[in-house]
Amino acid sequence: MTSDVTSGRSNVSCRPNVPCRPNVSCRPNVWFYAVRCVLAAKENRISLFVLLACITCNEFLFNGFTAVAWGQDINFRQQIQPILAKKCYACHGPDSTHREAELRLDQEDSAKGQAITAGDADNSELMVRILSTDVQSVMPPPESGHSLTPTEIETLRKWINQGAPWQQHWAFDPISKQELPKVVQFADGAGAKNEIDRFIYRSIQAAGLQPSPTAEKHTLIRRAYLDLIGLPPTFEQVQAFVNDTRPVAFEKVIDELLASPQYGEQMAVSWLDAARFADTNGYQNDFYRSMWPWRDWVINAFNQNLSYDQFIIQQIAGDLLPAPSNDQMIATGFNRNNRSVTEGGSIEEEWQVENCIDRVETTAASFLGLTLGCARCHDHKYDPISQKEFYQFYAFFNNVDEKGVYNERRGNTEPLLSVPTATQIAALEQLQSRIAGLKAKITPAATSTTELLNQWRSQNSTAGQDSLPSPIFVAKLTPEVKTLGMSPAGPSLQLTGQPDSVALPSPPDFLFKNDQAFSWSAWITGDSRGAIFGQMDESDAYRGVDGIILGDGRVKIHLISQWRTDAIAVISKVSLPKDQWTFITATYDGAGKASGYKLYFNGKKVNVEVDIDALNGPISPKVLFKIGQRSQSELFSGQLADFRLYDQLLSDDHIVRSMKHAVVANYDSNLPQPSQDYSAAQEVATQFINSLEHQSITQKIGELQVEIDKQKSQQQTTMIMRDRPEYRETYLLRRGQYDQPETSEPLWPAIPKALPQLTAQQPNNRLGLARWMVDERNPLVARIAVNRAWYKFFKRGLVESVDNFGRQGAPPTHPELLDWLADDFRKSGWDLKRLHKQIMSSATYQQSSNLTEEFAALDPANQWLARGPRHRLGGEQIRDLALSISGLLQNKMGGPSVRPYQPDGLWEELAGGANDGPYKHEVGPDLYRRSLYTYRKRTVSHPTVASFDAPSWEICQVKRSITNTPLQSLALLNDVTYVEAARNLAQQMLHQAAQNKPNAAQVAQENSVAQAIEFGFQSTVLRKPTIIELDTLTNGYQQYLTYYQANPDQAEALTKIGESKSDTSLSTTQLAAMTSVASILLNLDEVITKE
Amino acid sequence: MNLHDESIRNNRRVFLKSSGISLGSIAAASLGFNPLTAAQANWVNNDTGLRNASEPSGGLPGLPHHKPTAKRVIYLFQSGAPSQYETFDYKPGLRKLAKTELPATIRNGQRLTGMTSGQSSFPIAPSMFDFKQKGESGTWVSDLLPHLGQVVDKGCVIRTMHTEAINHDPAITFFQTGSQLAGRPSMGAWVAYGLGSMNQNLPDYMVMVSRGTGRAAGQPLYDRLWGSGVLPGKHQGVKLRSAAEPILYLSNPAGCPPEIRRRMLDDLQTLNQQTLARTMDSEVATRIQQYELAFRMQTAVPDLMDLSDEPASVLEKYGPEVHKPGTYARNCLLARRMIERDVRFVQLFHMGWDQHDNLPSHMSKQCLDTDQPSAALISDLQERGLLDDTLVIWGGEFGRTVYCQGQFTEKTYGRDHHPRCFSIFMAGGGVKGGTVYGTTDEFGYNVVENPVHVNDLHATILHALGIDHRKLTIPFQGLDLKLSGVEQRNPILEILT
Repeated sequence: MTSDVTSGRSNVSCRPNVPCRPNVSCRPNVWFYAVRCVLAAKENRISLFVLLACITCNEFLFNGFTAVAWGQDINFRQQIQPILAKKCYACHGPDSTHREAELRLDQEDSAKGQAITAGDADNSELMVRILSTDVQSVMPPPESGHSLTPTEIETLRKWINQGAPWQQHWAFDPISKQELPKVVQFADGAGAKNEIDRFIYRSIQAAGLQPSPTAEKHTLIRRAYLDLIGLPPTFEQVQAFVNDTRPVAFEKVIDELLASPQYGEQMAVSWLDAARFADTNGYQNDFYRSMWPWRDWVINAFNQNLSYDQFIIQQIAGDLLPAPSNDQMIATGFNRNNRSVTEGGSIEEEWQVENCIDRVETTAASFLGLTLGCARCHDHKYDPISQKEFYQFYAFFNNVDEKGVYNERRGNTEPLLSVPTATQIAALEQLQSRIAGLKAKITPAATSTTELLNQWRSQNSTAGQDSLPSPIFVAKLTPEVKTLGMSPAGPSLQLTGQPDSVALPSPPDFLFKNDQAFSWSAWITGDSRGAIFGQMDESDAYRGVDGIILGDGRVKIHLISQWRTDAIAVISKVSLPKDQWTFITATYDGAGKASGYKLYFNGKKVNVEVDIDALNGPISPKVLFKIGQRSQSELFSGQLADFRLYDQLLSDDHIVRSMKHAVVANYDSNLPQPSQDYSAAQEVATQFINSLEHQSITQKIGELQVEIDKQKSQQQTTMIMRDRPEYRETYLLRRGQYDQPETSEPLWPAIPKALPQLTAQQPNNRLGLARWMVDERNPLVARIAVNRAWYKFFKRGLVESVDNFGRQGAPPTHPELLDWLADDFRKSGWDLKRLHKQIMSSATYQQSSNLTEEFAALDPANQWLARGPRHRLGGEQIRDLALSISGLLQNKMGGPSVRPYQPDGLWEELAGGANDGPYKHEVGPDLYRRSLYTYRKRTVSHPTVASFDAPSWEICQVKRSITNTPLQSLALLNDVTYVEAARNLAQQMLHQAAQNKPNAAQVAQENSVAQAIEFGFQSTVLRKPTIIELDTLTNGYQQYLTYYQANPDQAEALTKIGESKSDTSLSTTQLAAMTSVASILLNLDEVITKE
Repeated sequence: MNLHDESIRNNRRVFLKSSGISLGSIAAASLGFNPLTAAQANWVNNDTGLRNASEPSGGLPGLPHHKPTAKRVIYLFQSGAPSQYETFDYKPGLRKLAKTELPATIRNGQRLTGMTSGQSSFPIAPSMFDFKQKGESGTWVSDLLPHLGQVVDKGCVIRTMHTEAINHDPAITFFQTGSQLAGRPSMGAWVAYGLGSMNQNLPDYMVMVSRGTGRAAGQPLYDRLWGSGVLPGKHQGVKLRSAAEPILYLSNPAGCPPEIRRRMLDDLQTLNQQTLARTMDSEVATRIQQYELAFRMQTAVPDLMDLSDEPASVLEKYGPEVHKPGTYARNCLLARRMIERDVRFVQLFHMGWDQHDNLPSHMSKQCLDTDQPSAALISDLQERGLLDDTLVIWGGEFGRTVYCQGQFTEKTYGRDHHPRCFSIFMAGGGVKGGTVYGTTDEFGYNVVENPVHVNDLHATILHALGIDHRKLTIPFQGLDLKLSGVEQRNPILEILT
């Protein structure tokens, strides 16, 4: 952050998505070439001496090695495609809208047809233009900001002269079976431990390097602990391992760690980054939501070693699996972790689109390693993904049953799954058994049915049938293809949701208009879903009228001029009663307001929710009237009967009498004949009348049902994926704008053409997508998975751009190893624990991470892995480590997120303390939980982890930067978390010394002090201190002690910090002095670094 | 190749050239201080006034692209969006049209927020406040901003800003990062990344927030607004708080005086140098340096915050609120002190501009909060010779509607969000003084001439700093990500000298 102090060396490891700086020649390529060069040299018998001379030559190392001099084959993927991708594709790539001169340099045909003459660079237009000195014709054009380096130009020239061999982008090639390389022996006897090493050693040798020796045992076990469980071992555990000389000693450690419950917690950390998991919904109001059941699912999935293919399938489409378990539903929360808008006045459609795009980007980045988001506004500039294909992929996620804006709504939003406690389950079961008891009381009462029918019959005759309004249309429901059933009002149709509408020989002679009153009625069974009727043109912004039953049994009625902006939409607040017939009536008064469109169940008006009330324009559609569907969609499944349409507003009395009349008429018409129809009619009428008859019991049941709902609403929920009952059309959005759909062409879910397509067994929904991902034809998913595992251990992927396997990403340093691992991983049943063990069992992983001058010169970035990884720990790990060493850490797993210490006022400054109130840290054990469980408020990051590069979890992030800033130093020295940890460690140190010297007064003696410090050092650094280290700390201690003896109030103040009680059995001044020593220990580079 | 690799590589060259010298001595030499005297050292160099600036360091090679007119930026962000009708866009003709319906041709199908899209009528609400011509330039300024009126000749009013977002969160995110979507670097982070640091003791990008008096619950702010997005985390804005601890964890814990801390740091360094010698990892050397920088910040930040050296006459300029920590006035004064210390990018956020209702009374209060301190900052900078190379910007995330939202009486009215045009004020740093840029229609509703898109403003700010906005990029999601977005944008060169 300031001046030369940080200019060159500070930090800056790779931030996600920042693989490369423009105009910096790519060292991986140079290196790869060097390796190829050496390999080829063997075959071509080029003097090894020359090569070695070359390798040690500074020019070669730092200024770019020109391939040209060596007459070797240029590798298209490693050397050519990256140049073309970075410098040329923007105008000559997949994006058709920005393509210049119809030239594509991402396609062999186009390139060779127009710009490249294979074998003749001088006569290739490509070279002519690149070398041109004319500003008008030189390529790349100066205004593009790109230019080619001399090395790049020479590489291109050489490649063309070699015949310009072409290859498809490596990541889209199928994962190929790899032969294991020959065993390489190094001079010092270093040998491969497993297959991984054979690949790695080949490259190390080719790079002219030697593998590093195995790390010292204390370093190795610490590395394993930090990698697998995110916590350090105790000094005793280290000692046990050091003393265990059996060959299997390290394997035993790995096995124990893989079986530890902390394994799942450690593995979850990076997955939560990818899944943008947080405890708030993220935009400006940033209200609390509770998605921790999903977080706990992730931890359990790792701990139970759920196979990675299932890990994918359940998160993408667990809800679509046959009879999904609660766990499988919870897993789908992966795609509900996106932020969601609650800002008043926001536009529904706009945020619906944003949510969906976030899901596409997150899914593509985390599983496919593709930057699909680029193709939102235009064809992808670098990868073969058109804008249309983007929206086809988008269509997989576009049917989620959620709103784009939840106006000022707090907490979780639908779709939800309850995850009740045992007590809650018991209470519910009790209510349900009471309902069952009441239901049992509802017995068929044939006599009362007859009596009631008689009453209705006489009422009808008194009122006179003629006074009932006549329908202008009654659907004749007698097509031969349909199965017929019986309703209380006569024969019914059983429809199955198939796309063949009921034939209507003569559709109603009626024009729906927004100023024309009308009514309609129909008899429907409780399990029905879809459109009762419809005259609606989906292709004309849904203009028209319909009545549909939603997936949850509620009835929704529409009058639409233009969907959402100019429409009335009303939804019943209750669902159709299950297992019985309901007589549904809707009446519209022609006044153009939602309040004038009413719904009745069995003659009783039902409460409704007004979804939209903004009708102005005409509603008459230019499509046919249909029963059992709209024009194209909402195909009805269930039973319906006796659809009637009226050109007037029915009164409440009309509706009740129509219902009674229909039942009586049907009953009577079947009365004389003792036929099958007769008994069916009798039964159905009896049931219907019973349901009306036992209204007091039904009411009680309803009340209990309300109580159940109330209790359910108090249950913990988690957000899940669930598709809408109505299919939401997907269109290409011009320039990615929500309000610019290309409605001429509805799009259906599909995979981009550059990748293998869905098979017949893979439906084009999310489940099909998930199965496609783990299909063995998929070239990306397994590679991404093993590369990310590799990254976990080495902080550098075999493909350095962990998040981008597209053409803009880095080519793999070890393509054969990548494929071998991916293939082996799939064949092993996507077994993550096995993969982790495999990597850790390699000699490559177990190497010392110390640098040598040779490494510094030849492979500073450690891409050839001739030494072990060394990097600062993540923010979560650093805090957990301090808590663990000091003995404060609580190992409780799972549950709602907790609030550790945080400086006062942070929330209030930004959010005014709104929404979550002022931040109050926990009291008691929850203060010391693992950092994974720290409450994540997206708009105000928790500084303890945020200072150490934890993301804000707003978008998917699969890679964290590792920076090194003064704010981190301040946090580790001054944050109460670390001061308290230091004091607790100091207490242990002093007790340790006291144990050895029973006389407490002796503790002050130098000898005891040294012992205490040695103990603290061993607990923290996990090795014995050197003499310099011990002397430095011991001398320091004496200085601190002198100060605190002279200033006991300062000692008092320092040792009181933190909620944990200070150990009063110890001398406060000694404790203060030792706390200062412990604080140094917790700040050591070696302690906050994995070596 | 990533940035990290490159920095390592560069370091290695130095390393190797120095072979023969012990690693420990290299490390110590590279730190450039002697632990024995460090404790007594005064880390703020007073010999050159407060400016201990050396050549900028840590920026990208090749930058600046051209000669800059500004070295530093102060962005006075008015969060919640002040109305242009009551600040800088004088529309006298509206008085005659008061309460008449805004013609549909003017609205022209514009999308509305959910707050007014259901309104059946869109009555024109002229400003209740008068305007006067100010300065030699005669620029029209609202009576609500008398002090800014006095410095109007120092800068340019842009009346034709326009944006794409109509709700606060996306709009302010757009302003700060060039994109409505999360995850992109903020403008201060871009500038810090591109140009590097000019000072030794303070962050390059500092942020302060204050709460307005005009609206009790103003729009909240979020860390994202000054975040570093995909850039390395060290470029993110450091929030200076008004609390006892202006920077998080800046103060030593109770019972740990500076002399003890100094000794601890010396011991820590001794031990870390052992690690450096063993591992040869340059990150260790960096870590040692960062602990020393942290120590210097512990002195430099309190020094920055300590106003005892400010003459009463200066404090008076900023108005009475300057005596209260956490106010906009105090933050303006602190901004000047940061600029004196060569902080590259300073940003203030003042909450409370969101006058959906009760605009006249609420906006009067907001203006009272900000008018005098903003003007004082500009003239104070000028008196110290700092305005010439410091760009000062005053403005919000969008404008307000000409039509009334909600209750409309003789005494009160409100305005909804309006993205199509709004006004900002820019001064110093090469901005042509006494100018007005852009013309809006008679309703102040649409741009008639010289529109300035938010991304154009980004391009302009970068241009003033010597940066070609097309060339400051970082690869992100397959694109060369720019602060100025993907569409073609242009710096407004006409307003720069």
